[in-house]
Amino acid sequence: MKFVLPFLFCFILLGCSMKQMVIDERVSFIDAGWNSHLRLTNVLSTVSDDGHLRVQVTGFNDGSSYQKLQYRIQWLNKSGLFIPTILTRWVDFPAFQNSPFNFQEIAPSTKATSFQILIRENVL
Amino acid sequence: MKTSESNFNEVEFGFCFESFIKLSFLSLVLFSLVGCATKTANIDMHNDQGQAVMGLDYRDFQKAAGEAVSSMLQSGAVNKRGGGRYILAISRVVNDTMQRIDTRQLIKKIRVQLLQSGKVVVTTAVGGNGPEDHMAMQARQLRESDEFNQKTVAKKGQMIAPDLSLSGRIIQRVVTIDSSTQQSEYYFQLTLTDINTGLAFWEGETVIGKRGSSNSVAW
Repeated sequence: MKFVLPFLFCFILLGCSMKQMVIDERVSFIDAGWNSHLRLTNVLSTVSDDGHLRVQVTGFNDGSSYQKLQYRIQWLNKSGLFIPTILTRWVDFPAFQNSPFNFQEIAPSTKATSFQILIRENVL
Repeated sequence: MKTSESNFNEVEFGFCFESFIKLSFLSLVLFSLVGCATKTANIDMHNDQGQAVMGLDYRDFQKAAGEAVSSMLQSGAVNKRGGGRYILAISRVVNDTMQRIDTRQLIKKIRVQLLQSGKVVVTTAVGGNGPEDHMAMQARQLRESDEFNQKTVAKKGQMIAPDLSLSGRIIQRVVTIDSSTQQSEYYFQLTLTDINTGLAFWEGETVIGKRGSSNSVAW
């Protein structure tokens, strides 16, 4: 019993610290200092009936304070070239404390086959 | 002789020293003035961290246009049944704010993006404030001219009537918070109407709120 208890305790601790997190090279957090409480939980991309690529990014703010964030999405065509569009801009979105956050975007044209997303803190 | 020479030097030195002090003071004033002047710099459009203004600036138009296009594409309102592209006419977009705004700033961004989406083509031959480009009609007057090769003149019945119409309004509401703070709310309201049926296929609203000093005038 003496040996079992510490192991059990360690397992419980390990279980508590393991949170769902995904690493997707298409989504990057800028500035590693402030985002320690933010984690990416899902990046979903689908093509709608009309041929437009749709993206949904979901994450979680483990911190105890509200974060005002921004994302910027760049669309790429099948050759990997960036598609210039007014939809590539810094867009504000909220990340409430101890809550999930998410945002959705649609490609500006059917030529977009991939994307790159940057996420940062809104400094303004 | 020696005494007078020494007196002269003392006077000369005093005069020079006084001039030096005056010049230094003037230079200091000039330097401070130059230092206080705001330097002109180009705005980094991709990462503009400049302070928000009480009025509307290009960032607000970018936001409103971007949200409108994104919402239109997501709604599927511009997906023509059976494929192809809709013909869009620009109706009236009313500026109901205290600012002098050319609403074409907003509409142009939307038009460009909708055209790039491959789902919509905008007609410049008809519009809410008359045709945007009068040449389409004026060029047809050449039909009566013997000077022009009639094979190159636009034929009758070639223009395409619009399927959709984009109209809207920008509204401003000013709320006084206290004696020193005020709030300006801007509502960008847009409607996409099916001309054939008169039904609104899509409607969108972007709200931009700004809170600042009452001394800032929002126009």
